[in-house]
Amino acid sequence: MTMSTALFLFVTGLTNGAIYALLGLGLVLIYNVTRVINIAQGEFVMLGALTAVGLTTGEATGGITLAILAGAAWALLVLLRRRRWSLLWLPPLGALALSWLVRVAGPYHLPPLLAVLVATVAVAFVGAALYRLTIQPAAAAGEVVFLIITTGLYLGLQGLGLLFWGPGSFSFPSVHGGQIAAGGLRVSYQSLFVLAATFVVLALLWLFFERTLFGKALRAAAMNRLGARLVGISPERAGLVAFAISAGISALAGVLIAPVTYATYDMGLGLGLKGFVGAVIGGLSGYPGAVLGGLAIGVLEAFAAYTTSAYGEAIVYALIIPILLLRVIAVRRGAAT
Amino acid sequence: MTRTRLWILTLLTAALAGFGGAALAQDIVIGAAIAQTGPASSLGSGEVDALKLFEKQVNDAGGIMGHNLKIVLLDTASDPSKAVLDVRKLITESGAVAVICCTTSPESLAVIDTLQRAGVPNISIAASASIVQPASERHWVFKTPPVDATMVAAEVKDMVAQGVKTVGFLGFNDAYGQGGLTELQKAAPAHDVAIVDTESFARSDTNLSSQATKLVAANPDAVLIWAIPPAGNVAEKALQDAGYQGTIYQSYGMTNETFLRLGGASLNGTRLSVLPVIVHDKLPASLPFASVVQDFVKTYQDAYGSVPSSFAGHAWDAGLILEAASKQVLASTSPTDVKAFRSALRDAIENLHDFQAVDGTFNFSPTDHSGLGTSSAIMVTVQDGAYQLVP
Amino acid sequence: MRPRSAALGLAGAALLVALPWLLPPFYANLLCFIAIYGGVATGLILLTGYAGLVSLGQGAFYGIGAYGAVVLAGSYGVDPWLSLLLGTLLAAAAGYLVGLPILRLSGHYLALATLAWGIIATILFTQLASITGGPNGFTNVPVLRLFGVDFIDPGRFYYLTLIFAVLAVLALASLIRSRAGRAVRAMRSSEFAAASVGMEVGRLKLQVFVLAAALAGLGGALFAYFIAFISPSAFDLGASIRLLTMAMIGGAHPLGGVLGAAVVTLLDDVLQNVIPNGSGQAGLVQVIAYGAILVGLMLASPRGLEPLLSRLWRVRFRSRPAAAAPPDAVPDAVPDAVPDAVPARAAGPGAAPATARAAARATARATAPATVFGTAPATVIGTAPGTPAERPQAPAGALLEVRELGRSFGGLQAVDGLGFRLRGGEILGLIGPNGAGKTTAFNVISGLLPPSQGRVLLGGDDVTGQPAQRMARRGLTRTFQNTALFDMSVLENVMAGCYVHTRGGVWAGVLGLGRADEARAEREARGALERVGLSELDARAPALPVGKQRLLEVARSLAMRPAVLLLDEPAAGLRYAEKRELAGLLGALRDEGLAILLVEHDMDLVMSVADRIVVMNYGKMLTEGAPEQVRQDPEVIAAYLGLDAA
Repeated sequence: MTMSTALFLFVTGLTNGAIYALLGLGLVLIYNVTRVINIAQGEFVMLGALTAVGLTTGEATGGITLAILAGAAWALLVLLRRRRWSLLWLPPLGALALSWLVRVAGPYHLPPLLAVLVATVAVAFVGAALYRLTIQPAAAAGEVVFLIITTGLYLGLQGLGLLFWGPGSFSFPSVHGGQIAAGGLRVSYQSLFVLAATFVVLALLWLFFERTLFGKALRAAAMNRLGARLVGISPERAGLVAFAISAGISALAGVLIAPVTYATYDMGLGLGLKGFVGAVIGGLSGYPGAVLGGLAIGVLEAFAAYTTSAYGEAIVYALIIPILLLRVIAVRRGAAT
Repeated sequence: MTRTRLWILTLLTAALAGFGGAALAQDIVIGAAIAQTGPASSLGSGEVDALKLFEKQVNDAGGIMGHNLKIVLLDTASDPSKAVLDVRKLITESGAVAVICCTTSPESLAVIDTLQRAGVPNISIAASASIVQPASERHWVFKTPPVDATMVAAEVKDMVAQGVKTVGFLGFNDAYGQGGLTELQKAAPAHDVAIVDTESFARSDTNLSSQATKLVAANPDAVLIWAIPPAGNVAEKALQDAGYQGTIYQSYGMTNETFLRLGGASLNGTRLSVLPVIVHDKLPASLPFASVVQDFVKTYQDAYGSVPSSFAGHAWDAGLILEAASKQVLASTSPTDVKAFRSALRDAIENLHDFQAVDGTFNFSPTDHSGLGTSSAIMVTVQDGAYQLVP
Repeated sequence: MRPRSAALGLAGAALLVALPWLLPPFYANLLCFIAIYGGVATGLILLTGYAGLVSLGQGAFYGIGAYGAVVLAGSYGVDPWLSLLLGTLLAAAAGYLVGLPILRLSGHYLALATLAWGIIATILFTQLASITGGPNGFTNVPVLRLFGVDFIDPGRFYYLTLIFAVLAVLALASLIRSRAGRAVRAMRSSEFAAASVGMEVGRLKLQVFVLAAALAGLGGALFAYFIAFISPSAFDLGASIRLLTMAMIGGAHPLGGVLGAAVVTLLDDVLQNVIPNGSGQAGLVQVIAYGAILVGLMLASPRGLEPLLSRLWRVRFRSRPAAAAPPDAVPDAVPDAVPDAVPARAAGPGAAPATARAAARATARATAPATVFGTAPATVIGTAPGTPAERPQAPAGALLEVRELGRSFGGLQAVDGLGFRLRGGEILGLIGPNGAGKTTAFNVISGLLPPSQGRVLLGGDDVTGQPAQRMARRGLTRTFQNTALFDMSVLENVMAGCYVHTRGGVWAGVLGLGRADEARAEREARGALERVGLSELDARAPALPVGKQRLLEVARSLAMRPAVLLLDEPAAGLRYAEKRELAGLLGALRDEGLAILLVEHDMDLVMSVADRIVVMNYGKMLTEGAPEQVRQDPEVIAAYLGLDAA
């Protein structure tokens, strides 16, 4: 392996790693605030990518439909809890009307930037709604229960993806096509954009959680639900915000990666898994850790695939175990001195 | 607590109560286990559409010699174990006289044992040659897609014609990809073409730069990519991004609408062997099956508004074969005598000669349950978003 | 067994056997699947439901069993029945090799490690094509034959799988009832508390992991013979998730695995039947509905079907309440009759006539001088019932000696230069203001933390740095400042204390051996509970009021037959009368030769009960002496109340 090859692998690894890092950030955010390991994180990526595609190319706008349905379900739940039986007809009717409107006003050919914005907002809303409908009712359950619930969400969302967009693949315009060549190395503008976006999101998250009161309240809610309640922080609201932001970040990641790898209905699980791996390696509690972990996985993957493409993935996963063990030993030693 | 009990009761009742719709005794029941969900769903969706259309067309024309055709569709979810379950269900519950299974090779291999024991003829719509070989152990199994060997041989012949001396391989690390690799490893040496590097990747891999870099370093005259969209697109793009200058060959698995749409102008010059249905509008009239292909495409287009995929063609052929065989058998056997009908069907299929279908001309025999010849592999190149026949 | 449950059981068994005849022929297939997955899921319930170890890689062991069996039988001509066994052993061996490194992890790290393992296994299955047949699968599966009967027809194969499922369920039920099962559940509640009562947590985890892997392997082998074909996709991450789902739906109960498997398998089939096949979207809608129903089930009942199953079949963790247990010919090591110094209690179940017990105890005292607790040096654990446990020799000198003990956390020196000697038959009080380092000292002495400086000697042997479970086995026992009880009944908590002097590991538990030991442990536990004055034996420990929880911890410690007892604020939360009783109990224990180190904030209690007192402040030892002395020491007063009060 020559130096230039190694450098090339490193750069491409970082690009893919940036997507894993974005996913990892979303995962850590949800975990920190709600203690949920979200198996369905990759599905938000898929929804974001495919919805944006639909809004620009006139294909199905499944994400919007999903947002409407989720909103209707949420409204129904609220009405049921408040026992407003007389208004129960409103959400279903409203959903039907809205869906019809959306269908009739299409097909859409929005400028890409607008499509991205709409898609991100829609998916963020779906994330919040799913939290309200499926996670919050089970708030007292153990973490393994959440695992199964999010598995069910993953299955359902992937199925909906297949239903809305079919099994085909779709492309999305890059932010800026072409590549820059520097020192024999060729990097596409899109890759640079992905990397930049990752660090911007990281910085924003850091600012949010460290410098704003609401962000600190979110962290408090994760550490001690009862305590947070006692000082007036609503764990439910924290969960909603966490899921919304996390889903939004993932949707953005989907839009960024779609030009490079094309969007399909089943793109979610593989990405979510790698993001999860990166996040856990980074400690599952810190955001910089999640980013570093994701980038590390991307680079590891690139080198492993080069060395032996057949067993490349196995090597990456095999390396996880010693890394985790080292982590645990390091923590123990740190506490012991 | 009572709620959970209620759940269990409901599930049990539903399970017992809802098994399949009963078919009329005179119906000819054909079971189809297709991958409608899961990794192979992009193949299966076309197959389902084709089968449903076939059923409708046959019944609208009065059925098979007056008997209603009933195709019972089950979803295997691309899972071989489920495929076995589905086939067992089709055989015991639905009373199928023949089965069309399955979309992928592992699934098709999985059901062989069940079929052989029950004595039910199966027409597989999957790629691997081992589904029908060795013929002595595949008494009840046939298949409609051409074997990989035929398609690869056509490409290697084309390589030789293009002056290619060295070739690299980039394919899936699963059944499909390995099938292509195996055939290349047989065909290339036979034509004095050397394989200089083989790389593989998982279906879900999004970054193929590493593999592409290695291939470019080995600098073969041509690279054969053996995958399905969008991975095949990603692979080609990765090779181009890594600076590959040689000829790129793709596999016949790429020929759905996604391939050309995603690749755009960057695909110009790519060569591949395709099934006749892909270039239905360019088939020379001398080909005996040209009219069958064009009829199929027209019917499909009228019904669904889009051109059929090659997988839809495989399924259609399965229908055609079973229809033809049934017509022969109905002369002497009734579909109510299920066991005899199945056996007679099998014999009838095996005796089909010069049967024109969408995939080509079928010539079955006791030693050949695949039946297609080299005329089923048509070399094309991609130019400006469309396929052009290679002269 | 009561006649009614026996009749019910018999009816159930008859139904199970007759099922293939009662249902349409296709359903025998589903039954086989349910039985196979049920057996495998039962192993996973042991691993995740009872031991709390989340595994996302069970599919790998399932696959190793499958491939192992059919490759050996198909490619190497091994007898198919033998191959079932070999496949299971292969899976178990893999479980051992994989478990060794990764069980050091816990929580999400462990889940991720098992996930990684599962993915690696799938890749290996796919890539090692020369052995496994690669992605196209392995077709050369021979037929299982017994006395000329072929096991191929699903209706017939069902009986094989039924045996497997039944064995798995019975094995789990037997294990849960046993000593090892109790240890597993204790470990799940609190690992460090389990270690403190002498449980080898690491070894237990590994054994449970291997057992679950073995069950998965056997299920996989049966699966391979049933389908007569295997390919890597049957054992991938999706399969592992499916198994975990079955385990979660079933809940933590021996029948949970089979029922969870039934729900998931039937759900698939029902959806296929109910949703019309005519629509091309049938498969899609099934997947979406499946996901929605999964979410709904978990929301409706996070513990799965366990509440329902527990009503049907309560896996009881203790034998029936004994009428009057006959007095032992040889006295139990722990005196369990009504102690002298404590007011008489109402004789509860299991209490033998007080006089007989007292007589027995007197005999014991007469034969064993100075201390009841044995005279042999501390070595082996696991003694025959009735003989005193091996305990460190009680020399004329100290039983427990601490020299220059120190412990620092980073820059903070929590314990600095602590030293004292504790003899048998003596109560040493350890007092000091909050933050003085008392609990840290306890943690170091009892082996939960290694010391940074100094030595600990027990019965003359240097035990510095020995882990908690070794210390427990050597006769040193402790209670915790925040009670570390197990989430079980009161009686079971105390029986967990008997762990150190009973025998029987996971395999013994599965086979149902060691009942005699269990009965003895139960008697001792009841005795210990009587001694501390607790009577609600079946109450759940965490639900007790704090005062009773502390007494429960004391009882558990007594059940361990300790030589040295470390008590960390046992009186916190007790009322005045209860404290008096506790004081009496401590005095009685001291009279019987126990060495007791007592941390307390209730000065009256300490002063009245302790023979000597050590005072700590800011990690250092302030002074040591008789209670009256210490009480008037100006430095001590200054430490507690501030300089002005001195």
